[in-house]
Amino acid sequence: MSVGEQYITIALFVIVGAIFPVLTIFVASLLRKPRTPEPQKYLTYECSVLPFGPAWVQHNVEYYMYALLFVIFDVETVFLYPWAMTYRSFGLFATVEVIIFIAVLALGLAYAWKKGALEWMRGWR
Amino acid sequence: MAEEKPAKEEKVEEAQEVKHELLDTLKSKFGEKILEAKLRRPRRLQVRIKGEDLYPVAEFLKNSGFDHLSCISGVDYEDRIEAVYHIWSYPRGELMQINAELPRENPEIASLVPLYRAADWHEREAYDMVGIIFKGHPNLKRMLLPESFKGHPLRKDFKTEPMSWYSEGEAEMWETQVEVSPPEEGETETMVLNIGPQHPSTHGVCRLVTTLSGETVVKIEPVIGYLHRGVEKIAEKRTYPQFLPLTDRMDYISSITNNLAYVLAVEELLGVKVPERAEYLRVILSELQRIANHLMFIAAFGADLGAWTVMMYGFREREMVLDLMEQVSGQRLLYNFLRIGGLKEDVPEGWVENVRNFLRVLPERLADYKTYFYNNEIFIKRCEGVGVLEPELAIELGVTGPMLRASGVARDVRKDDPYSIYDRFDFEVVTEEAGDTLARFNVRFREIFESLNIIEQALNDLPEGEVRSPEVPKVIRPPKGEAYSRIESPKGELAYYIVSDGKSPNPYRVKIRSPAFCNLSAFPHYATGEIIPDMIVNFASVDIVMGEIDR
Amino acid sequence: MVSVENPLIMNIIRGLIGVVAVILFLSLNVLFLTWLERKVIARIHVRYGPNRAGPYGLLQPIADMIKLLTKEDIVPEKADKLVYNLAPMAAFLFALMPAAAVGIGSGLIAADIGVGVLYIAAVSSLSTLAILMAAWGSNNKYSLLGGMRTAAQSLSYEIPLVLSMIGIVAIVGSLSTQDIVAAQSQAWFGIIPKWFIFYQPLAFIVFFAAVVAEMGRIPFDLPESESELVAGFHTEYSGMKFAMFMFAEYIHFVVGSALVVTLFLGGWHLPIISPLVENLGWIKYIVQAGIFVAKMYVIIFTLMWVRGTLTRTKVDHVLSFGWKGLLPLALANVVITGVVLSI
Repeated sequence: MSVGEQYITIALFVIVGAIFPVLTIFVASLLRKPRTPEPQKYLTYECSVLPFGPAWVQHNVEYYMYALLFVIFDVETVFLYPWAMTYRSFGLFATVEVIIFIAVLALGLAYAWKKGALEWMRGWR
Repeated sequence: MAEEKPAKEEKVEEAQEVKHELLDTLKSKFGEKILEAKLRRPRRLQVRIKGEDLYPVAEFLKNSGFDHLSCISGVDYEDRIEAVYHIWSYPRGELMQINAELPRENPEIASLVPLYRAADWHEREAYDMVGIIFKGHPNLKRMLLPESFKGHPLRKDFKTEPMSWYSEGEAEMWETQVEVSPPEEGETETMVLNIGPQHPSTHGVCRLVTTLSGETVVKIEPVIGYLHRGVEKIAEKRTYPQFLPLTDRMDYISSITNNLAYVLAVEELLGVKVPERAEYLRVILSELQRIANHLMFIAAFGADLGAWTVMMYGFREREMVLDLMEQVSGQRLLYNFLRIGGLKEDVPEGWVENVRNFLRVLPERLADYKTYFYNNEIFIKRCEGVGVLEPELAIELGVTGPMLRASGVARDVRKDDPYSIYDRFDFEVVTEEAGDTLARFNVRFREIFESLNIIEQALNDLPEGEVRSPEVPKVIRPPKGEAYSRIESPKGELAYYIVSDGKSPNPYRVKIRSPAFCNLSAFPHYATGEIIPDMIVNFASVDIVMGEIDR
Repeated sequence: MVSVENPLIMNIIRGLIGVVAVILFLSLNVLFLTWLERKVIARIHVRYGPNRAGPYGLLQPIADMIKLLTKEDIVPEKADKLVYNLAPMAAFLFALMPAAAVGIGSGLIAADIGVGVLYIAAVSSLSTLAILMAAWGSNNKYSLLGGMRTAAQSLSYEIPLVLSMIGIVAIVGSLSTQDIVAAQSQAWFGIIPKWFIFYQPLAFIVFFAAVVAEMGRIPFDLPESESELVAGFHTEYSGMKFAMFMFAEYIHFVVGSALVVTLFLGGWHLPIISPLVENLGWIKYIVQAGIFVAKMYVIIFTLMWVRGTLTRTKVDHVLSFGWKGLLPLALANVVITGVVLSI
């Protein structure tokens, strides 16, 4: 198979991977004894006490900082892959270029580090 | 050590004068208000006043050096209710008991929370059990019983028939309300998380209602009483020897120490002297229990950190101690081995050799633990600097035991207020300076070695003889009086306050001052401001056992 | 029409064979792993482990399967039904997808796409989504806390993971896993293999730590810090849906170990044996698969050993280790590789 046709396998993976759990859970539902519904079973678990207030509350901004940093560095990584593939044909130019690229991003990381964006729940006290 | 013993005796004799001096000062300052003041025995003072005069007397005592509020009990006599305060003075080394008389129809008394922060939970419990109303208490709710409970169980006129306490079939847990206040400007909402009774890392059924902002803990409120069995009420219907098995079930991890505290109090009331061999064996058994308890602490601590291996190893070492105890008493956990006046029976043949063997084997095994913990950077980083408890705050909150010693305060009941024959042994009080979780762990770890030391000394001096005092009568009816025995249980200061009315074979009132109760009351004060994993580790380092807290 | 359709159907059939083979391989390994993990951890803990169900407890996974199949499926009332029900399926799907590009022998690969390594990197970050779906859909504070933590951890370790592979890609010049393994087939003096662990030691350390974090194993056990948050993001799941999460976790384990072997430990090549079986036809495939699986199990055993030995790290330590420790190392590795290669 040519490389392009390999993607058919990937598509099959997605389809089978999506169907397989559905099938399994369906088979399991056939094997189970009939349901005995009781109201207490369907309560949310909070260590045997009723929970106070909803669970869907605001969450701290800390998580957002990590997500933001992740996006930035992920994009950087995506740019580094073509560099890695075509490295040989560029010689010294590629080396210098990658050093500059990474230096700029390392500077960004150092800035985030210094500003406390990498602290979990402590930097914002 | 040799200089200390005669000095102590002198101090006792001088103390007669010194204490009389304190009592005289009290009488001269307060005059008519002091109804009675006496020295029951060395290091036990007693003062009787009326309820309304409590606050000035307590303030005077606090300024005279009585800084550790040990226990507050409520006792219901026919014609009056008494609030009994036990306050220990670290500088002076003596205990003051204040009996404050209150009229039965209106038992109101001033709250001591402004003076002693440790009074908080004790007063709530006295309100819960006996119905004494403490004016000025910040949060006078029930402690051990649900909010909707009607009546005060430890009153003598409380009916103990089966009744339904819950309104219309709804269980109490649905009714506990917590106010969730809306967030202030610019702050994120807080979430109230219930780290509830059924959770793998609250040791036993303790419920912590935590208010979180993100993952930072803003407020913790422990809710206890899920294991409340009413032991103090049961005591009033059992004879003195019949109550002994119940004491095992308080701190079920180290049962002998509970037995010991109870038995010491009754022996003080009776005035019997325990034979020498029994005393030495009691010390050996108590120290074995201390080792077992600290090993269990290490195991549970490892489990909370996610180090399951340590948990298994800790239990394996604890099995060695449990084997020794099984040879002696036939039981692995709840021994019921001490008796009023000595022990149940003598130890079997060959037991002493087994203990010596154990003393030899354990330090080698513990060397493994040292590598596991102290070479593990993850462990050190998780525990260092977490949950720092300042020494002044610790004393103020009534913390005792390894928690207090980890904050640098070198106080140990075995040294300050020696009971049994502990003054004959040479051991040091293990302290650490930092006051954080790692320090608490270190203190308990090093205490194991001190206990091994004490056992070895006791084994070397073990005399022959009988193990039960012949003076103890068949039916135990101690003369009218009160006794307060304090011991150093592995978790802290364990004390029993027993009132005997001289006529009946049952105790009139038994009040148990459990160390874990007071240590837990201190927990919310220093554990806020951390994130959840830190709080879990903090909680593990308090080393609680719910049987003792809830009784 | 007939001659055009035939190749397509042939490709689909070949693709299906690949899919079924991969799922079978993974399932067998996962079943075996559940038994192996419990036994290994138990022996570290000085206890027996499962030894009742069958000889040496070997039928334990079957017993677990039967139990999970027949357990009642309790859906909490307040859960967001759609998200809640989709999450286990999504978890399984996203765990399965990276396995398409990992091969256990030369040609024994389901889909030898030209961008193998990049595909794996891209798809493995999707599993975070499944966890977040589970956490949010359960409407339970414990799940939500667990899910947010897991998401933060997964994101933080994704970057070092992906960056550490760049050095290898630069050396080999291709993104395909088959080419990467083929590049490790030589040996110095015929004995010491030219595996990338020797060429890129720093990348190996970073990748190993990051892959342990992606798998959610101790010491980076946040996703299911049992003693802190009961059961983390799968608190509210029972029965087969829970089984899907477990399945997905073990698939991650297997695929992660397979990746380590592929990228750094020479895949299916062994210095003396590989040249010997080169021309023996179908025996070659069996030997290669055997070598690959053996190496994979060395890594798996090491990770189980680590689990029995270390404690769980705290949230902020995990994240600071990822961003302040691994990421600078990974960046440095790229720079060093670039400089060294140009010499």
